[in-house]
Amino acid sequence: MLTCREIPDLASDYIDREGTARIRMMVKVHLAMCSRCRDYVRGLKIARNMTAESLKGSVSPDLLNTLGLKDPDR
Amino acid sequence: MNVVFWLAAAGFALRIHADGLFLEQLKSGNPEALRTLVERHHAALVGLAQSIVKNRAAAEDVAQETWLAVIANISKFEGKSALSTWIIAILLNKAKTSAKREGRYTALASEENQGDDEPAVAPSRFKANGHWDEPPLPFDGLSPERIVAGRQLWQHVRVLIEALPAAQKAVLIMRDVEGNGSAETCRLLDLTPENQRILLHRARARIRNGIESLMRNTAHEAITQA
Repeated sequence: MLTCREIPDLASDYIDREGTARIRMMVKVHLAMCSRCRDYVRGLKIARNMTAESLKGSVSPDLLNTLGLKDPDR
Repeated sequence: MNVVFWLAAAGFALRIHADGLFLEQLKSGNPEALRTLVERHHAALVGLAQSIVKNRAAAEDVAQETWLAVIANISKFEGKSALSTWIIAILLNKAKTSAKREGRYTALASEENQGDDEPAVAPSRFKANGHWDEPPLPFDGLSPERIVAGRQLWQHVRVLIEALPAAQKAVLIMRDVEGNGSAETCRLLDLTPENQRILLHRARARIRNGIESLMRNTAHEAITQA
């Protein structure tokens, strides 16, 4: 049986469905019983989504100008 | 075959069709499509370049040079790889050339540890029996859709990404921002699968812990509604 202490180091592989089937099953069983570790894993997934979103859409008008792509409406 | 399967298949076909149309617009030099492409990938490209050239201004220059090359050559893009993979390969070549010219090039694989072998969560947060002593904060309400207005939080996440060690940042951007798989990430960044896996794990844990620290220090409403 896994303890809570071991879950954070296995969580990244778990949310990618990577690692061995045996370890994934052990993590799954632990998460079914432990709301605190579910909070940890859910937070890791949210952090992953926020990482993706945080780097989208910020481009300076100077760059667009240099590339000949300046939006005439802006 | 049930309805859900056919709906998923139709959605997939529509997405492929839309991607194909977008690519045709890009190849014909449609400025609006090119602008969308730049807006979608520019910050990620700067972050990737920075992990190689180690300097924000030089990384901005490399990303700009990459876009000029992409715009000049996109009509010749044959679609043998994903478009983003093609763009990233151009960027990494330019970044390596720039770093070598400045005498600053270090392969990411040789930087992977940087004395950074801390566990994902500090051992002091657990009791002797391995259960949580200081449990994780639930991230309720922090889904990207619900915090569009939370400028402080988005800025905080960008700062956390920027502060990651170079190899962690490169892997995090390849995997979680650009959506590449582990094999493609290893190939483009010259990393072994095990290195790549550990770097991604450490980077994600740092970002998660950084968001948790901000939540501990700031009223929850202030983050989600700022």
